[in-house]
Amino acid sequence: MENLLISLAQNLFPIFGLLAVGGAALMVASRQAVHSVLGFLFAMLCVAGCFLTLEAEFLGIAQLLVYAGGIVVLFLFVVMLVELTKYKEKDIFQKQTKVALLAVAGGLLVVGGALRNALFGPAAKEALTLRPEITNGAVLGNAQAVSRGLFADFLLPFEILSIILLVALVGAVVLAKTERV
Amino acid sequence: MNSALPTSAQWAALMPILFPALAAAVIPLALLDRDAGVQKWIRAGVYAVALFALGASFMFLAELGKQSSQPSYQQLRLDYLAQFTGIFIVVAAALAVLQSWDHFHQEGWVKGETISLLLFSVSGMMVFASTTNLLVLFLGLELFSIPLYALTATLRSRSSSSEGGLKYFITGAVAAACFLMGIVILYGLTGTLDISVMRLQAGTPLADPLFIVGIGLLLVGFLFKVSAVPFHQWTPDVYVASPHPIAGFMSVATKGVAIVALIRAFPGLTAWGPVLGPKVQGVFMLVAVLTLVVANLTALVQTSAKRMLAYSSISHAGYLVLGLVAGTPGALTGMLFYLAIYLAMNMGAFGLFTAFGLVGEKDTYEDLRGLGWKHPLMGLCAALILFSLAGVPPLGGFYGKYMIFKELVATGHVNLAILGVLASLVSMGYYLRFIVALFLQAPTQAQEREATEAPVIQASLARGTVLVGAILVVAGGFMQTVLVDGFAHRAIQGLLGLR
Repeated sequence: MENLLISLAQNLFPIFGLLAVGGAALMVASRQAVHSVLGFLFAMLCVAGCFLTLEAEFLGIAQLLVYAGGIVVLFLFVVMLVELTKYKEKDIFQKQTKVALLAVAGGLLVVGGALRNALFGPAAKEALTLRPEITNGAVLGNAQAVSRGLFADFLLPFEILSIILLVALVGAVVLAKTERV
Repeated sequence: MNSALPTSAQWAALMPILFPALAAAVIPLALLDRDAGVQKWIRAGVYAVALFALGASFMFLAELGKQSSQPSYQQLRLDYLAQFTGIFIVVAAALAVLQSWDHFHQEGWVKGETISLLLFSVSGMMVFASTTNLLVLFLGLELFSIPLYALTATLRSRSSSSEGGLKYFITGAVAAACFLMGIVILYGLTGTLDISVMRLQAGTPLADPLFIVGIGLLLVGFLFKVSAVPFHQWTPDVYVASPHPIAGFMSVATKGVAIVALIRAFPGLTAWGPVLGPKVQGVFMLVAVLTLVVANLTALVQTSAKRMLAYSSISHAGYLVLGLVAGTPGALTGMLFYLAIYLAMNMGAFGLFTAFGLVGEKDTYEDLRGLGWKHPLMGLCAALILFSLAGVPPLGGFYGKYMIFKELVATGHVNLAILGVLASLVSMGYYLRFIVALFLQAPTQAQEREATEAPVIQASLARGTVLVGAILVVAGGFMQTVLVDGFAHRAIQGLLGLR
């Protein structure tokens, strides 16, 4: 058990990567838009996991906030507004009660076990420090590195990106506007 | 910390790109007023602003040639090749803007935002043509492609328009994804994003299979934009779906910048070493042969003249890629000359539809019947432009092909040169069909009746652009030394560091 956990921990990056590919495949393959969005959400979560394993915490958290938070909600809104009239709500939401109960129970067991271990288990031999070189001041933190990249080394690409967003906006206006003289 | 504001030399590098982008950002704001009386003036203002921005960009580009050192800003570098391409793009865009004024009024609707998108696309193309940094290259690619996707689908009321737009968007997204994947692989292997550094850097695994895959993916992205076979399927649908001036602009500028970027990434065959160089050349050879054969034969059987022009633009991509196969400085110079003439020919050819006042889906040979006699000057220009497209001797199109074929023979690719000549002979068939329709076929009675009932066509600007195109084509035939020695040769020399 201990060995399995260790080897899992050592291969987190390929695991997250493969899971992300799986989520992307689900997104493309599934015939229901809601499932596609869930596949996308899963893929984005796994990509965030990849970032975390690469010690890019800032990017990982930004990925979670922007993609898993903002963009998926936006997609879900679109799907709800466009698609929902096609299906009866009952068919989507009320068939999976048993599966959901099982999943929640499983999750509770895992979290409860971890909590019990942390509260009543044996104390760790040494204090856990994430990346001691940051606390020493030997290297810059993650957010600093990202901002240095964005606003100094890659300022030009960053600004070009902002123009691309504007283009998307104007393009949407052109497509939505009716023709008239 | 270095100071944040760019120096004046850096501004000089930024200005040509900033002007179109700024104008494009301002134009949508001006269009908010919905009052019909005011809108007429706003519309004129929008076109004036667009032309002013292109003119200003042109001025700054012309200024670049006078400085001894070429300005750069971060990953941008406006060398002579970038200057050449910038002027190429600005001229194409200006012609497209002039034609679109007439075309949109003929169609009976004007969306000022289309001009804004066109200008954004111009900025993107300049970024794309003036960097060797793969990241900026990709952003430039997206910046000029996304507006074109929207421009293709501008006309909502026509179903073929949205179909073409969607096709372009999806295929373009796939090509961009391939391009990005290629960048990721190359970056992962070499640790640098600059393709010219990557090539010369010690320890670059030029023969590594994964590296070759990365270069291959990059090539897919480029060749898609060049619309060479087998990445050409989107071209006819998209050109037919988009408004005539936009189709002309896409066929000229997209292809032009993609070719220039290819020249930048693959300057000559020795640049990529003894293993990768021949492989890349083999790919170019295969693509050129396929393009020439497929495009010319398909163009022969088209019934729509606009669709024929789309296939013809694919076949011209084939001739240009032949120049890359030869890969000598002379061939690259010839390609730039070819591009300049191609600009005049294709903006003129697509402008003919507007000049003749063909709106909607009237773009078949049938619709062209007898129009040459009805507008004699335009008929003459059409004949000149089409003969030049086919490569008839004293005109500019011939010399472009000649320069490329000459270098092909000199590097020992006689078979390819013969294939190119045969392809131009075949192309004569479909260009002649256009001319026959214009001059030798009388219009049907229904067309005569329609012509007498229809109001007078407003097309003076479009006719002007066609005339300019025809003059350039003739000038390219008789005064090519100015263009070749003055600009194209200098651009290539600067790129290869000869001099």
